[in-house]
Amino acid sequence: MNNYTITEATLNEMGIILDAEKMTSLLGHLDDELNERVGTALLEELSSEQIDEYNKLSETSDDDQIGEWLSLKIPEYKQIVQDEIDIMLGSVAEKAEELSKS
Amino acid sequence: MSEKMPSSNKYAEYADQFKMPDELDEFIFGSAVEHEAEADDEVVEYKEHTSAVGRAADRLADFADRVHESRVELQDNFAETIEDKAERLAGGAKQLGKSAVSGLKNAGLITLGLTIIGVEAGAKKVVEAKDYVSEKAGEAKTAIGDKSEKIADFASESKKGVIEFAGNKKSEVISFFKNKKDEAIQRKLDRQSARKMAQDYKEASRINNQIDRYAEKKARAEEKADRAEKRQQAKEKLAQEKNLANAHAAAIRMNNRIDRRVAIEKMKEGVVESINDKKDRARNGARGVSKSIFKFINKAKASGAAAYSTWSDYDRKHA
Repeated sequence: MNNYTITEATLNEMGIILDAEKMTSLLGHLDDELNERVGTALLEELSSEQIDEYNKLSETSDDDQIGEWLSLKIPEYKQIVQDEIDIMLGSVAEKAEELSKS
Repeated sequence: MSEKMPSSNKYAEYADQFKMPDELDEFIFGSAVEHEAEADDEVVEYKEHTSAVGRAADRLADFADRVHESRVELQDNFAETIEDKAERLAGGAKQLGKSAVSGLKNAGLITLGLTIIGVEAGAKKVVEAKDYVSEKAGEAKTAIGDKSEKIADFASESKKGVIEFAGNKKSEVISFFKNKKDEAIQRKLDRQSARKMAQDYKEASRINNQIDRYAEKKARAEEKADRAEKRQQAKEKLAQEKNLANAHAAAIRMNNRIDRRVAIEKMKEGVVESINDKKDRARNGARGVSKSIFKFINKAKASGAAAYSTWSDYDRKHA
């Protein structure tokens, strides 16, 4: 079972109904794009020294520990991630009609 | 990554440019710093100081230009430097984003919008839907008891109503997500704007501090040049006074010499006069002595003659 952030149910709510293969492909693409956007947005908030610190941390820590570290280093961490998700969902919603026809 | 993106060393280059103040002491105020090493009471050439201040001012202006150019270049490359940072990031930006999103998902802190709809709007729609179905179900029971054709009509109307309801809900959901997107973009722009303002403020403060620092140094150099000028003026005045005193003393000495010379001349004259007097007196004396001698001689002659005569007379008498 995949663990995509944006789910099939969310897309269905927008009226995007696809067969399983297309839906999996779309969800995977959206997940990659979202991760890239979130990473870039957070990167803007990190200093050069913090990047070095992250690189060391990522070698020994899991996602939860990295999330805790980010929340300490970037006060608006949660809001930044949420905003990127909302922007992504809004973009998908704007193209819901086209995506439904694909 | 784009080929035109700067390497991470570019940061070091920028950092070096902005770290310049330490080295800049010597670069800009090399001469002034050298002068500072000299003892305050040591007389330094005023002209040298003045030219050092002039050179420092020129170098300060050059530095300000370079800082401005570097700042503009840094701003131009701002988007590039983000990508440059991503290159240094283990796993790239995507891996960071994945960890960040997963961390929040695991903590149950991510909202996908639908949850909010479920709470705020969805719940209302669910209630409406339940009411709608319940109402239609009640009508159905009544209809079943009536005519079968009415059942078909009811089914048709119900289906139409459900489709209509679903359509309304879909457009509402899409509208909701679009609104959320607009709000999120605005927050993102606000953050970028705040970040840029903070960077600008930090940069402006740093440059202002540098300029203040160099202005202080320039003022110190000018003050030092002023002190050197005053010392030089004092030295010149002292030298003038000394020269005047020397000239005065020389004049006095010269007058003294003249006086002495006059006195000597007078003395000489006096001596000469005295000698002349003596000479005259001697001359006169000699003349007197000569006369006396002559007188004596004459007298002696006379005496001798008398004696001779006497003696002759005696001889003759006693011969």
